[in-house]
Amino acid sequence: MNRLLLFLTALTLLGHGASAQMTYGYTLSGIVRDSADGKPLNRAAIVIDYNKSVTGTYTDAEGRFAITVTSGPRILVVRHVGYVPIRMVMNVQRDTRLDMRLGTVSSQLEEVVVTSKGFDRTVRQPLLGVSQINIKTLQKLPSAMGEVDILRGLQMLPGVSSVGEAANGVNIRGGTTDQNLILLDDMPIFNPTHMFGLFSAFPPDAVSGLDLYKGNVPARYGGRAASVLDIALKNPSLDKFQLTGGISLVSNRLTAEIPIVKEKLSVLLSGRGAFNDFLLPLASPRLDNIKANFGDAAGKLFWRANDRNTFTLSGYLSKDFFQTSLLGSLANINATATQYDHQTLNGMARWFHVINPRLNVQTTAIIAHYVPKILSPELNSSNKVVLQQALLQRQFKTNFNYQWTNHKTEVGVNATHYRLNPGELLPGSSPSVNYQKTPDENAIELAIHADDEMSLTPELAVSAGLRYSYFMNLGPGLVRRYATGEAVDEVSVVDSVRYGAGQVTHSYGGFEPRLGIRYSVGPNASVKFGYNMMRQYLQVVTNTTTPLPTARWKTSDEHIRPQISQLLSVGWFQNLKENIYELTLEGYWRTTQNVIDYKPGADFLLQPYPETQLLQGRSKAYGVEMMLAKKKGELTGWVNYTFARTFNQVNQGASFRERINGGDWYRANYDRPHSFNASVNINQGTHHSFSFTFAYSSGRPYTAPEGYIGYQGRIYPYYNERNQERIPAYHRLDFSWNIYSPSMKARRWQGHWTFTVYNLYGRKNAYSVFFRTENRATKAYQLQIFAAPIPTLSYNFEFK
Amino acid sequence: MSQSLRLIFLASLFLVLDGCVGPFEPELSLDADLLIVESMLTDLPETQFVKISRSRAVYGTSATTPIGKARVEVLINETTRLPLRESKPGYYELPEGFRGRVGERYQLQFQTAEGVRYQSTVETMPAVPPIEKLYDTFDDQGIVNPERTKITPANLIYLDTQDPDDVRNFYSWTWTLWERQAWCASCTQGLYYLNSDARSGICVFTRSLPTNNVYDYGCFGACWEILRSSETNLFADIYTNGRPLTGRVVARIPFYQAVPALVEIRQSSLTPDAYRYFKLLENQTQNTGSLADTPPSPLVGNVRNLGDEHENVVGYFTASATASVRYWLDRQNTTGKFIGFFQALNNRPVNPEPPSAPPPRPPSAACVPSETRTPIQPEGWRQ
Repeated sequence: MNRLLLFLTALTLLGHGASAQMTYGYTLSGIVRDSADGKPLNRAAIVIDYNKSVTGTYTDAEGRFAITVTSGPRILVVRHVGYVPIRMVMNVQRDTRLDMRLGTVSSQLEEVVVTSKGFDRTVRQPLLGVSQINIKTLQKLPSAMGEVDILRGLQMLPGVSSVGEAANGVNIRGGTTDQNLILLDDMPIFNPTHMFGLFSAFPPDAVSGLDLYKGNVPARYGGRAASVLDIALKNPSLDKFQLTGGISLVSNRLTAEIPIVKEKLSVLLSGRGAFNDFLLPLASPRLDNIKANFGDAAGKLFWRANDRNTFTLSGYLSKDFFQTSLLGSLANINATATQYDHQTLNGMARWFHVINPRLNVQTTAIIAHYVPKILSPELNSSNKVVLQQALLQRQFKTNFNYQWTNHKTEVGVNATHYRLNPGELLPGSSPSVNYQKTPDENAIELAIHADDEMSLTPELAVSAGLRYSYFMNLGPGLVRRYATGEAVDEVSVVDSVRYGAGQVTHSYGGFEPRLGIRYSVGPNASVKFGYNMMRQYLQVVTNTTTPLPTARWKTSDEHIRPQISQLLSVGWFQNLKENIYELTLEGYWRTTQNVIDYKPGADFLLQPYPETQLLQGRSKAYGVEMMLAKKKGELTGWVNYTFARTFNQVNQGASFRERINGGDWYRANYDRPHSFNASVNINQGTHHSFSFTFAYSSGRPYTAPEGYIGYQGRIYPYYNERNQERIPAYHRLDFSWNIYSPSMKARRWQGHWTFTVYNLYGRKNAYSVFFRTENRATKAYQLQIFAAPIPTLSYNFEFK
Repeated sequence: MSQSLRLIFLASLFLVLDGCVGPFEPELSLDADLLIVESMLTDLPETQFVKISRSRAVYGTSATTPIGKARVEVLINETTRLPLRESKPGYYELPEGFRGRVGERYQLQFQTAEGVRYQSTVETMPAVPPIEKLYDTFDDQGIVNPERTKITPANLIYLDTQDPDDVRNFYSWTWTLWERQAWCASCTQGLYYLNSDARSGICVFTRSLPTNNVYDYGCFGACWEILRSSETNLFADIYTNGRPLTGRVVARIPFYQAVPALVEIRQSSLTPDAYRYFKLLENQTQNTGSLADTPPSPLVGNVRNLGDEHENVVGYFTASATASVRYWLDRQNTTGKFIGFFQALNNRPVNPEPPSAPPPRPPSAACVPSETRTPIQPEGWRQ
């Protein structure tokens, strides 16, 4: 059916609607029936040219209708509640009889919006707080600047927020950005964004989908305190060559799936790049100090050796280079500009072996290498002083899965080695700067886990898991001892101990129980309960509102204790109207020990003893999340509301430098009590879809002055209480129009245009509020990121 | 997709991203009540002082009042006690002729009229290396306000110095600028009369002039306007110990007029703790507005209330050795337009009184010496 023509005809006809003269009238009549059982449908609406009041009627109890239409091309729409509508263009030249059959919405395949794994698993699975998003859903969401964006898409879900549009990561149920374990085909991602938060760093065409565990986390995952975001790379097609790609205003993309040996071996290669910034100064001289290039690539080799063995090799590369006046410069390096350069190079090899139909084993080796750099070009020189960091993670794990008759069991072991270069200053040919290096950190994290999911009765199902993790910080290194009862600083050092290579300087360990219980209340509803404990031994230490890509990662050691988080959650899950709607209601309470904060004026760069700059405290977060999703029909989408609070408390000692906010609870930087999100996708047949997304959230807290002081002939703000004010609330509406295959023909090459407007009504949302002292006075400002509607057009294609 | 379309899009995108700072009107509840101590003893032949004041919230805004009648002393090397004299309210001067000396230890002690006793930590004056070289370039976007609505061309003055390798060094730079001033007085709804000594003058109210009428009067003799840096500029040698420090921008001198000007650059040494204090102050007052700011925290100085550990006293008592060099800014490298010195200072064009006679008017105005003006040719000025 020619949908585009239909649509365009509709536009034309609507334009002329009023002037159309009813010269010749013909009768259009027929019967409307249910497609499955052939029963006639009562009160189905028949509408001509989308004009219900003038040319519209309903079927009677026998499903019959008759309507007068004028000659010429007319659009006929037949609708009935619970059924998939029919739309067609017809050229009526005589009295016409037309019998039609409508299919039910509930018999349609589920348009996966956001749901738990599989059909009505939301209700049946004994896990809560698990969301699965299909990449197709993300592709339909309006995206900022035409880039399909996983992290922005996630923020449309309840419980996922961020500090704003330029946030370098997301906050899940009151967790910091580094408390999310982000895995891309099991490879850890330490910096998930490009261009400081503007784009997600995942090649969208290579991703098949993602699972977000924000409540129950299976015991096979560990190492982070708040959540797990498990992103899967597509498995390349074993039988058909496929090419997908696209051009947006920001980047170019290309993905190829190449079968090498049919049904045996195939490879996926995907790349995306944005390298147009060298053109910027041509457009405006104001832009000549901005640089922004990024790219990412993913590859996957899949080999099905035989029915019992498959092998997978995955790789991921991400690279960024940018310079903007919106990021601070490196203190105490004398430079003309500051440039950020960071790169991730990850690899993974996996062997999946089926021992017998009930038992399989999966063995994986992973390597991840993240290298962020800050470059400082020097005056009158081509030399750049480089501050480089590196994080190398090597991991090996094996999982056994056994399927019993009414339960399944998983056991596994996991060993991870971390090597961190916390900072190395490379002067290059600079005459001014000294080479400097902060000692490497080495650590090993070992874990064993067992998970069992069982149905005890038809109503009651339990998922119980236990993980034991053991962490060792290793030498070589010099570990200081500080006088007990005194603030940890340069003055209270009493001794230091040198450890040799491989010697354990300090170790931590503990159990991490995981429990999920589901009790069904009737066939379509269930209540669930969940408890989680997670331990985190590797964290970002930063004192900024959102971590810079160059923020320092730090392993736990004698002075910095691991973060331990416990989460309790309860939920109500219900399917409505034959699984067309899904309603979820969840509440949670989370406490975290040993969260990291910092002393006033702390500086972590090249600091060999970061414990002198840090403070540890505790955090509590609680919230209620409500979500209603419509998963089938022409209109799909969801609405959700979240109430969430997050507070921290840091009170390590009596002095000003050892406590924050006088030792009282204070709001976390990302504490946004109210969030409301709505996403609507309207499928107009196979060739069009329209999407709207709306997001609202309370403004995030900021620290406002409590007084002004006259000092040094200037008026300075005086700050005391942390985060006591809020920036204005955030809201935004986006729109996108997808046009699939405009040629309307089933060809191997399919084009697809997406027109998107981000921030449709041009709300000037504040990203931050800040105070600056200039010319002896202090003024307040707000910083906005996308303060105008941003329309974009992108072209995507598929070759199959 | 054509490159030009992309270019336009990218350009507009980055302009959006780079320039979106707007004014904000916060609703603040100001309730701080703070004692402020300001003093930096130097080795320069200048009056050395301690300023004590209090900032309090009054009717929703903060007001700073001087704290007078305190008994203020500086303790030198834990032995010599120097009493200070209050020369004006809240402004306590060390004895005339006092100069700080590198390596000497100083401590501030004072007692308010109410009997509350305060004491600072002991600060040792660190040495400062000499300034080796100053040079300048011209940048037509030298000074930009946060909203990017006001772009002022400026001369950037760079400094070279040799960092000593035996100690940790912490630097602070400030500048003073002498610009030729041609307009010495302005009268609102009035006419200017020069006194017979030609050192001062008065505005005489003139009813016949409109209430908002302002006349400006040219200077009688040479006159210099004195401008001072209003920004903190700090540096620590933690990455550069013992190395030459080259090309440090120490001043951005706005390009308001094309005639040459004189700039004094001061290089001061700071103690490690004073550096930390002023660095935090700089970070939360000047280096704000980035994508990832550090949430501000209370500034804790080095003066303590001996009876109440929890009172937070703002300000830092310290000692600093200073090297200074005067630099002749000839402005030969400047290009483009400038708005004019008068316009820049007063935010309006000059409006001289129209000539009339008899008696011949308008008169010239006296250059009255003040904090911001002098009729005495500054040392280093070239004709």
